[in-house]
Amino acid sequence: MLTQVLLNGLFASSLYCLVALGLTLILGVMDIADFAQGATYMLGAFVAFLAVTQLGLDFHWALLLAILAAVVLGVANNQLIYQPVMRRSANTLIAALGVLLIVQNVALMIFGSEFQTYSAPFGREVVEIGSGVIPLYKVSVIAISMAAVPLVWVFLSKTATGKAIRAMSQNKEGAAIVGIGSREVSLVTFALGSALVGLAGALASPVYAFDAFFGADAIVKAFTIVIVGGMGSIAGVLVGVAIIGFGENLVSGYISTEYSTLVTFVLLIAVLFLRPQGIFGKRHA
Amino acid sequence: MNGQPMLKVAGLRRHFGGFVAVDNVSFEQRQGEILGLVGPNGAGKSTIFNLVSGFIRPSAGKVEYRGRDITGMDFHEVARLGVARSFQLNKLFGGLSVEENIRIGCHLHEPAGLRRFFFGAGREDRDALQGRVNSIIDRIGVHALRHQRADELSYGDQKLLGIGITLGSQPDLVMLDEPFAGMNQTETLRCADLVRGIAKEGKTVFLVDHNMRAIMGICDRVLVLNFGALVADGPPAEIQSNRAVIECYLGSRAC
Amino acid sequence: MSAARIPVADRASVTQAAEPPLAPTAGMSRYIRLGAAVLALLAVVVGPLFVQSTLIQHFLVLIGINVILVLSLDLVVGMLGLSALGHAGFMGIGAYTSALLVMNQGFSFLGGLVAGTALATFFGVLIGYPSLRLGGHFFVVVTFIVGIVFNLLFTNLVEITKGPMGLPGIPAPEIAGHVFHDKLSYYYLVLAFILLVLFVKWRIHGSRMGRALTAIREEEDLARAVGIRSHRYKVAAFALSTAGAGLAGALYAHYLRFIGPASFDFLHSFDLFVMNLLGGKGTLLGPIIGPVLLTTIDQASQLFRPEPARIVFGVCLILIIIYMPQGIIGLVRALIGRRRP
Repeated sequence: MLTQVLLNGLFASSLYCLVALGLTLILGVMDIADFAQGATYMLGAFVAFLAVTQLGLDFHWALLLAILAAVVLGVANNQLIYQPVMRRSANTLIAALGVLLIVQNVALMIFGSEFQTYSAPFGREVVEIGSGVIPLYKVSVIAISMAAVPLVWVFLSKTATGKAIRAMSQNKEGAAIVGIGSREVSLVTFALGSALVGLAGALASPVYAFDAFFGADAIVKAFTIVIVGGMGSIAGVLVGVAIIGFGENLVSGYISTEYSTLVTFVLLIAVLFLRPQGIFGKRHA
Repeated sequence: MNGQPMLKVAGLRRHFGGFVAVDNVSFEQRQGEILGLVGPNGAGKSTIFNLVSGFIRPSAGKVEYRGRDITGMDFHEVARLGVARSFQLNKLFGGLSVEENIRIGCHLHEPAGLRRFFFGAGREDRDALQGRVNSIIDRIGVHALRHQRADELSYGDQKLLGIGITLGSQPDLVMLDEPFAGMNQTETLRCADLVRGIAKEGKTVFLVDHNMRAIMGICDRVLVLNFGALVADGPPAEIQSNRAVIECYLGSRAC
Repeated sequence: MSAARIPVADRASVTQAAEPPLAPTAGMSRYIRLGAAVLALLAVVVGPLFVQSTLIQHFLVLIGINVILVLSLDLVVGMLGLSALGHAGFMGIGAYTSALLVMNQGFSFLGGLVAGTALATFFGVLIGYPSLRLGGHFFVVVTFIVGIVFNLLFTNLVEITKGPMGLPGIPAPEIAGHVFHDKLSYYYLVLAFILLVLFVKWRIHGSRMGRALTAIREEEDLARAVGIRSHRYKVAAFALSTAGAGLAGALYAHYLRFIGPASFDFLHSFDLFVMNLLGGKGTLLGPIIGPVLLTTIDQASQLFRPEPARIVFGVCLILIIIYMPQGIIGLVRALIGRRRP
């Protein structure tokens, strides 16, 4: 029973992990709480769905298209909305919520309010682990997510662009003096962050019935993970996913699903009051 | 004027991580005295200023104001006790007019209460408040600018407004953080006159600045700080001929 | 509006913030202002008597309730300068409390109203006290989460709130024997409370407290340096704003006679925030204009499809924060300010 509960939770947690990676990147480097990524998640789902059902593409091409669409949305959002908002020293969180609202309702008008479903790759193949079973598809998603973490980490610490991004997040002015362009950095940050979120949405779409509001609560959960783990910290994402993902799963498995969300939020508020920088975050001056 | 000093600082120490910014500093200030604190860049002047006014907590040591221990007290409580301070980066209520700025400065002495909230302050109270605001505006000499937005004033006028705001709470100890910074000759003289005038009223003034001439010109006593420790403490004449002081400034453009 | 014109709008609108922000026409003589106010009062009191359509009467009541909500929200958003995204949650507290006490415990309508307001205020203090110590960015996240938590509680505490199915059969208000069961009389009930809330807000703007809140908003460190106990003022302002939300919630519950958790979700908090920003935060008229405009658009849109209104709200919000941060009132003030010599 426990194994099954944990296996069920592992899939959802790996999705949250991808989203949280993207969010913590954007939050850590650009200092933007990008709630509009909820729209990116949903877009990833719809693009993958359409690619498979309308264009008849294989799932991996659908994933690629979804990532592309997500990158376009995320980067456009940054250029058209966040940059002007930040230049006016206004609140990007509010702007993000505005964008989310707009994109969700546009999607609602285009696709209607019915839930979409389609079948996942690998059909009904399952894998047995201990006393539990888990579809092969979900196992591959978990694998992808687990691979993404070290890949992102390597990108940030070993490549020139990645190092530039880290420099920016630590010291904006210092980075500018040394010649690291904030424009390029913000472009790459949003591209990478949105790609991760869009990928998560696409991977989630064959499993869950989704509509225009898909991703809204994944985003909130992912933000909780980011805040608990510490903004801008990859290690924080892993720890946060472990706590939130499994904690919620246990509560929902043994108590009830509704209360699991409640528990998450109470935890979030507790963290905000007691240690707002999260587990691995740095204290703001 | 009773025997106890207005301000007494004993064994004040503050470190940031491994860096010792203020190292065992002790001094006293008598009522009505104009005390200046000088030192090269990075000597720790701002840190001492913030420690005394309650903006940051000391790692060790004591700060006493009028015999009362105010060490580590929240800075709005310190303000309520009669200590007012200006800010080096000259904080102002930018979007508000000069007059509104000073009116807020008088917050502590504005009468409050539910009756006044619902029915408005009586004519007497309103006139008294306006009178106080007007007198400060005249003191600092910004009468012509009273309806101007604070962030549209010239730099020198903004600094004077900053001082004016500190006067609003009718403090007994006025702490000024680099009041002369960035001022030209005329503005400096104007500001120095203002400070002297404040002291003449019986207020005690504690100044931090880089402008040696201005400091030596108006202070009764000067403290010299270097690397977080007091190097000298005495009247201007004595300080100017003090070898240790001269040495600490050699090679520094700070004066 | 090009970027170069924005500072002028800000400047004009804020120099006039030096006087009590009664009207965008602050430059005109007192008598004109007084006359305009009397005319406006006459219009809102007498005008609706000529409205025949019950649909428009319904709109008027909803607009009125939103005006109370936004007037109270503005205490935090406008006067303190903090974004708050959980207002509808506190509204729900007031609504459920009043409805349940009147239905199950035999409270009178006014008793339920007071209880709903009181409980909302209680939670306001409870949540405001720790969260107002945090920076603005954290505060907005806390209010956002709190609103969602309240909604989850409304949905899940089924034994008390009857859960997602909602709470039907809330009785109409009865004051001193008179039952407010038609839309027009309810409008006047709401109007009475609007005038009360407006009066309190007007007093705050012109008082020592209002100056302190403005000071805290503009430069909190300086405010504290002149002796203002900023945390207390912030909690007081937040508590007052949640009180207003609770009051509006109770009025809402007894008007619709049916409430459900969906009435108090994040979307509603967001709508109220947009209304506040559109009208003009930190003013007296802004929180009236915003709800009038946007409630009308929203309700009209509901008759066909809700999505276009949502999109309009979202676009409005983004345009406002980039081009018109002082809202409609700010725009009007800027236009008037530039016509003066």
